[in-house]
Amino acid sequence: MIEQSVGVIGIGRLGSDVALTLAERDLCNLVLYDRVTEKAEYLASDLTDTPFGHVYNSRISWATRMEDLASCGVVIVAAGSRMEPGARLEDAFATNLPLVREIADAFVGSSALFVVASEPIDLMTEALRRELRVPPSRVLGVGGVIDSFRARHGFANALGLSPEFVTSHVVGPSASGARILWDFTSVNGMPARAIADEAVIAGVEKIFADDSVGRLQRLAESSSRYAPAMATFDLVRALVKDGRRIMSVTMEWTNTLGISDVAMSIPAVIGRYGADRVVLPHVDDAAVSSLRSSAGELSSILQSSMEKLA
Amino acid sequence: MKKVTIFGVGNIGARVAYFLARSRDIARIRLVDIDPGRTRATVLDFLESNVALQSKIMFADYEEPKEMDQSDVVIVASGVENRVDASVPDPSATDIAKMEEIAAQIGHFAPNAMVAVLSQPAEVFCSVIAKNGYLDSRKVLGFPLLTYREWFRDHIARLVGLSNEDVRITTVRTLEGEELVPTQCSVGGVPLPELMPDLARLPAPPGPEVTAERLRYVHYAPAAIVAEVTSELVSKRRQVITAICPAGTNGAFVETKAVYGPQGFERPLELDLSPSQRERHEAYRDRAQSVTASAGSGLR
Repeated sequence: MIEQSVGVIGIGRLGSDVALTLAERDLCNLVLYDRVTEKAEYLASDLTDTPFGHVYNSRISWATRMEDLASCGVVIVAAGSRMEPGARLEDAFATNLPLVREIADAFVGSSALFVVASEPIDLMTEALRRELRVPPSRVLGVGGVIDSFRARHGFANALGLSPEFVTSHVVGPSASGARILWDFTSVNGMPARAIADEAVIAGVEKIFADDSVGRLQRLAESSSRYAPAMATFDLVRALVKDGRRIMSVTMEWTNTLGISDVAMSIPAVIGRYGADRVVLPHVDDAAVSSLRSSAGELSSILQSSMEKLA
Repeated sequence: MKKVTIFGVGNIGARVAYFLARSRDIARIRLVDIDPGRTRATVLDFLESNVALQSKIMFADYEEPKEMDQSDVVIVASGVENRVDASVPDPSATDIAKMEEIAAQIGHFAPNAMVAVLSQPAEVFCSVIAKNGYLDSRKVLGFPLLTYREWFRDHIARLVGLSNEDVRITTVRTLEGEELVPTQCSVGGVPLPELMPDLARLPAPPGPEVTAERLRYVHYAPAAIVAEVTSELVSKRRQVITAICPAGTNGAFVETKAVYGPQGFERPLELDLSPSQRERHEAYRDRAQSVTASAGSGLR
């Protein structure tokens, strides 16, 4: 029997798809929670009845109280409203912020690692870290993982390559402000610039930026959340299996490029204790300046929203 | 669904079949070996294991040559275990004759297949197979010395304290074996020199004794790599791999990192070599080309 348990808070589209990817791969026991208990109960039953085509070792259960997830090794936060296309960051954050206080109250004294998939991911990650009063290494958002997936897909697509061998990282605020780290992008070990010329790279950056803007519209229209779910799965797997993998994750920056107390994407080594260490990217002065500006905006929204919550 | 034929069902060939059996893209695997008893025993072993493996793959042995009909990928793994010599030795007349026979079968039953050669010296055998099977040489590729590659990946992962799953290496072939090209290696996308500024700590290639031991006992990692690349070849997606490909003078087969697409070899990639590495690599290329020429297997 598998011993490691992973909790999922929020059984909407995202939470359901996250639970599916975890159940399908037989990685851990699952404990599902939603304010509407029936949602968690019926999903547990649905997944248990699904023939995945392998000998099934993990257990899927549901909880009636959020506190019942406190003994889980990893807790995925997938609850809250999704961000509407055109919505202001501060409005989306204000809608989901009460959830952060609720989680913090339920997990007092818990040693769980937290994976934040609720939007807006940067702000929710930082707010949860502050409310839980735990080290930044223990609260990680999937924004960086999703953006690095998008970068890998975009680069592989531009070159007609199989994305399986493409690795890429991003830095900065999730979605619209994320930057591809080309020095940390490679194809089967070969640096990106050894394979693609500047025109290709510029083209990928443009598609990446355009897609960042169009992503919310796409999510609003889609009936599934497979890409965010797979990003969540990838991060949870690295935590549960002590993967020791370098992944772009959303986490609080601590005097990184002169930026502190705000969560954005950054490559870090991920293992069973969360983010062990940040792998500092090479970014030029212009990019640093832009990152500081983005951090300032996020910080300002955090400050005012959390004051209102208090 | 796709078909794969494997010539040579020894330790490597059988394990490649195991990893391929787990692939959802492949419907049929045909195993062929010079020893029909071993082929039948291995096929039966797979069929019985299917109960738990839950593979949907059909296995066929060599008594039904038509089963090879229209294979998408053909893997040539005959005599892999005991015959890996980095110095590109002259192949025996017997081995060349065996490869000519395999080439004739491929040319007859699966003329459009991608052919992946593990048998060494792959530089010569790729050429023999392309010529005698009347095949497009872009669709014939040889695997590098996989035992070195996995050794490097494992050691780098330990040195930097990260998962070997994410270690991607570039090697350059010399007459002594494979050497790392550090600036074209990465871990999780991060260039190796960023994680390990002191490149002097990088592992040296394994010596002859270690290599001999590894050839005797290490089968799963090389087989997994072969299966991974084969799955990509089956999918006909474009990929960047280190392979023995027709990138030498007059289309001779030599090892390099290259782009492979739906029609096979597309272009070699420039390796970032030190002057001494370049010299050793050139010596390898000269040797590979001269052995190929003396084996009388210049391309059509």
